[in-house]
Amino acid sequence: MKGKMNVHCYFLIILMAIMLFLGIYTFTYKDIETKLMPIAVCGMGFVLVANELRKELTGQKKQASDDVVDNVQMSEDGPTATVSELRLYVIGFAWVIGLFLSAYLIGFLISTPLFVFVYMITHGRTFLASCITTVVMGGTIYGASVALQMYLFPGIVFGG
Amino acid sequence: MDFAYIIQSFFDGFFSLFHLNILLGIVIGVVLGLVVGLLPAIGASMIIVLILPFIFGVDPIFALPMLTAIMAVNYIAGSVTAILMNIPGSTASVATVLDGFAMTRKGEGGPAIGAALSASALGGIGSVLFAILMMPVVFPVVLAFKSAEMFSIILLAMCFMATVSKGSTTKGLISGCVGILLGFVGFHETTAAARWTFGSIYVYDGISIVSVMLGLFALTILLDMRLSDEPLAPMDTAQAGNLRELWKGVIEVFRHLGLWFRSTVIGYIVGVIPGVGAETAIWVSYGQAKMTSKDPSSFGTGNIEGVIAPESANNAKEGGAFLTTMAFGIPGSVGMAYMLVAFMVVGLQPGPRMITENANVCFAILQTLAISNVVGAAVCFFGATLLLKVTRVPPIYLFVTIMPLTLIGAYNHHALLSDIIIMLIITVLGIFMHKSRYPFAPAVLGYVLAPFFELYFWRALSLGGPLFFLTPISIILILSTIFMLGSDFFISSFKRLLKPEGRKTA
Repeated sequence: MKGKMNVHCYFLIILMAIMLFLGIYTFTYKDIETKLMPIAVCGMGFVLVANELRKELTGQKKQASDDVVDNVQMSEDGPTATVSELRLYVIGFAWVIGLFLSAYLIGFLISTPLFVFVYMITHGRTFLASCITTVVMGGTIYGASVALQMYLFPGIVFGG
Repeated sequence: MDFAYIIQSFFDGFFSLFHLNILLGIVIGVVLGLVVGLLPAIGASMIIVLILPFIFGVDPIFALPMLTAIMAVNYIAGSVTAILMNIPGSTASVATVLDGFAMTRKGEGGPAIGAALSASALGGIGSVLFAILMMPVVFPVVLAFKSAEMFSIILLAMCFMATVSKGSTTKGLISGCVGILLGFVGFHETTAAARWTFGSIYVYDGISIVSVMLGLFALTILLDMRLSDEPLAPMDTAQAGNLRELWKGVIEVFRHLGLWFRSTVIGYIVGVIPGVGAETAIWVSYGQAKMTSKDPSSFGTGNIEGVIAPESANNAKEGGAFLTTMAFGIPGSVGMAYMLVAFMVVGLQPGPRMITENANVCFAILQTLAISNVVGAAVCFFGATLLLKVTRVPPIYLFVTIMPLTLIGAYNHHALLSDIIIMLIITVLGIFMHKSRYPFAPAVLGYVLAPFFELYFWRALSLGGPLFFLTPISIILILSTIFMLGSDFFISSFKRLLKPEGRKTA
């Protein structure tokens, strides 16, 4: 075996497991109309993922020549993520979860400016810059959620 | 479908644009499109995805012109950074860099910008004219599409998107399968079976389209952007030049009207072909410009024809792409996959019914495309230097302002926290896909088209029996799909056949 297990391999294994589970679970439905297409897609997906995993593990994988996928600039580190790179994603994702939890507890109107201020201060921005951005963002959220829907477009935010 | 209906729809669409709210929407769209066009990390698709949650229930005649304006001017702004900074704002401006930046280094940045902006605007207008003229031809074609043909064209579109997206075809197909599986969740329309809901009432209506779009695309890209804290252009490196210099570039376009026309036609034709993006249009038009030029050796060293050709083509592509998207419900390009979702969010179902029942909206969209191109080029013409300041904004500011909007957007759809949770779960999937270089567009298309794919399949089967696909149009579409999927195999087999001969001659 030439290739090594990397993040992409684990991702493919999880995908295979999900497709296999969904494919088998779909057999429990009675009507052929309900289960034919999902089983076909799960089966095809499973084969494609297995083929991709085989390529990854046997080192047949070609390095993609382009750095752009879907008009989005990709990392130049290589085709797949490294563990340290994913750790940075986890930290970023933790901020998103933090905002979500604070919004759940105290609402978007307070949690959003709070998030902006804390994030900027902890990422080396000056107090003044953080304050200005917080006020602008808070004003925007307040404007969007209150003024905009009351005066301009009723119902555009949170269904009115 | 009579000609009078087409003419009436044309004027209905045109006059509906002259409403303060709509004009305001176009202006907002143009400004947003120009700003995001300057930032390669964001892009028009991202802004469209972020706006989606806020346009539910909004009149399509207001919402769609704004989104169209964003798409229309995205490439215009990208050309400015390409010419002045050697940084293409999008992949569609890559060819412009070659001669545009070379001209800037020679001190001819002003004429290059002028030529790029006017070529873009004229290219956009030209393609809209072609699209409008093609409408009477498209009408009978779309009416010939029944269930079997719709099934075949959706199959073709999904495979097209998977194979033409950058990266490997297998990854594109896997991405498409993931999207289709997400689209299968929820009530099955004909049998009323709750598929993959696992007893949860929340997903009976399927996974929220907004959660999928925001999670798979917006939040993933934002988190990726967060890893870098360097602005696109940290210093004040470029000036667009004075109006006199810009005007010289405009005159150059009128001196090369033949080149502009050829490039516009190429862009339009590439746009009509499903799934093929502006990247193809710009290089084909650049190639033909070089071939037909009196001085082909000067290409790459600052020839203005190398700016006019790709800029005409990338904007002309949009007219063709919009027509395909609206008429057949299949995206003409990757960006159009997101517009397709926008159409559905405002309650329009792109496809034959849209073009026959909402022809006025189709015309209004095409007319918006032309207006936006002119307004966008004019804004850049007078304010390019000012707009370039956007490129000096550090990504942290974009992250802290856009990230909360994704959460608010997800919540806004149904006022349910579950939508945010689903979005976060899909974000994890998106991160793995993004870092493993899986394209998102096939997943988005798979998710959106999966229910229709299934619906048309069963409808065609019940109407036409097991051999329902044996209609002339359907056979052509299915053969195209097979050829496209097997093209790599066919080409490698062909090379293998030729190899022994090559050795003999060697």
